[in-house]
Amino acid sequence: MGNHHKIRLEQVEIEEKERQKRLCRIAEAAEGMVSGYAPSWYGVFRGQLRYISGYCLGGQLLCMVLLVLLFAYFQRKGADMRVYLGAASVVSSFVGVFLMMELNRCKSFGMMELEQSCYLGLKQIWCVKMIVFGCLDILLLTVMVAGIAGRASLGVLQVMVYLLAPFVFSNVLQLFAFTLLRGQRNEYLQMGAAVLASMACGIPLLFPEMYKGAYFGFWVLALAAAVVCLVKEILVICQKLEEGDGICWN
Amino acid sequence: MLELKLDRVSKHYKKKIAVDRLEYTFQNGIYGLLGENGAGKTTLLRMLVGVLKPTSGEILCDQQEIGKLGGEYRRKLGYLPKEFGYYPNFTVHRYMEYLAELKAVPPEMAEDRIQRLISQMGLEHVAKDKIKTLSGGMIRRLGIAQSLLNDPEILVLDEPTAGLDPRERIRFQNMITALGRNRMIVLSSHIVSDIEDIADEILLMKAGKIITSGNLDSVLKTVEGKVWEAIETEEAAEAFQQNYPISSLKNMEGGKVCLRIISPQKPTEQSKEVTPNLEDLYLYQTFRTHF
Repeated sequence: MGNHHKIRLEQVEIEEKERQKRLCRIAEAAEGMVSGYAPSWYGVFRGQLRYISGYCLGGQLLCMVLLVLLFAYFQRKGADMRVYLGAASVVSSFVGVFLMMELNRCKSFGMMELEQSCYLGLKQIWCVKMIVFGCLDILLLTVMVAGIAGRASLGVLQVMVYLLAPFVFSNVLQLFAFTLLRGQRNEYLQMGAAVLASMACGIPLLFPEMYKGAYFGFWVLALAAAVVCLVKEILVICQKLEEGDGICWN
Repeated sequence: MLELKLDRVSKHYKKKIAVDRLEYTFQNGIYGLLGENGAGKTTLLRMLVGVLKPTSGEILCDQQEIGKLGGEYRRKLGYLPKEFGYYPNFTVHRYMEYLAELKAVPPEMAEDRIQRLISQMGLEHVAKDKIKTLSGGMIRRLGIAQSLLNDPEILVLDEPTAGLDPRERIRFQNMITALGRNRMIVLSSHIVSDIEDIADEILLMKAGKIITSGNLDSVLKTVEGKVWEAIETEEAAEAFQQNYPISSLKNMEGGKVCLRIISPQKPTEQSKEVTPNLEDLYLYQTFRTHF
């Protein structure tokens, strides 16, 4: 076919005003699409990890190292692992304070109100921090359970209960202190609550017979009660966040 | 157009009523909240941003309750609290990055916005400094900058000009005026002139209620014929101060004093009526129990 058979379009006149108007509409629509950005869970975790205080995370890791060293010492010395169990309970019950101090940071510096008004509110931020520190706790407890259970003539379930009961109890006490306190001095009070809880968790060290089978029922009951209290404390925190009365400074 | 509706919103703190059955609708524009301490301004703003839950009533954003909208509502918000908190060991830039993360600003846009706002607020030279080393005015500017990070459709500012010097205040006013063209801005201030200069709508609060609202001209009409100027002796001026709200007092030559008196009735034969301003209205409404 020759060129003279090609269809030629007429020159289309572009109305500049209309063009600008339409471009504006497209820009607005594009802007709207971008503002709908929602970070993935992975993105939220990665983002929050960058801002977790090194002091709190470091403290938590230091406690873990301390427990491992303690374990190595007891094993090398061939000492009674039930004593280690008691000592490990004391240390692991103290570990929770680092999460509390991390959660407390926004309270101490008056950031709660602002953070709560953001897309990722306090519920999400605290949830991420609790999961991060909780995973480290679980890792720690798992290693300890595995280490002790084989060497102290105690079953895995028994060791789990003996370790978890003081750990959960301590966390309840610290969460209670967390909901009660505010202001910059609360870090010290939070630390005080952790020391108190650790000391209480050291009581079985004075009475090693408490780790005997006869008392196992008592331990299970104590753990169940502590779990109920923990759930209740978490619900109280959620309600306080929902109502907002505990968030605002005055 | 975005609409934020207060539907009989109340907030009680035990027996104290901070906000009392408010009904009002916000649309695009600049709304200025005025009122004495304890009038309920901050409580209202906290409820608007969803930090405080109303004891009764609802706040609706385009007919949907804000609590139910959750993150989708908070995404539209920019907020500057009265007691603006910050992590003192964060640098200005890191703080902005942190809040951009919380506000779900797309990562590819965040750095650009941070840089733009830091420079708009005149904080470029301290961008790498820790916040604890900044002056009060700089911290306030940082607060304003963070509130704009997500290019919010609803901007709530609680006493944004507190701690700003006159130049910074003017710059802030100009910026808010420009921003208010296509979004909703609700701000409270103790500085009456701030509100007078920039607000499209003025809301005067007292004891948890909105007692007057409207544009500047319409609210000033309520006080027309109630503002007087009189030149009196010092002794007489003192007596007037006991009995009337005085919006200004100037010493003149010959021991005389020029008073601006708020009163429904002509206070003296010699006093002459003058055009009211927002300060007069504020005094009239807040001292209303006197009349």
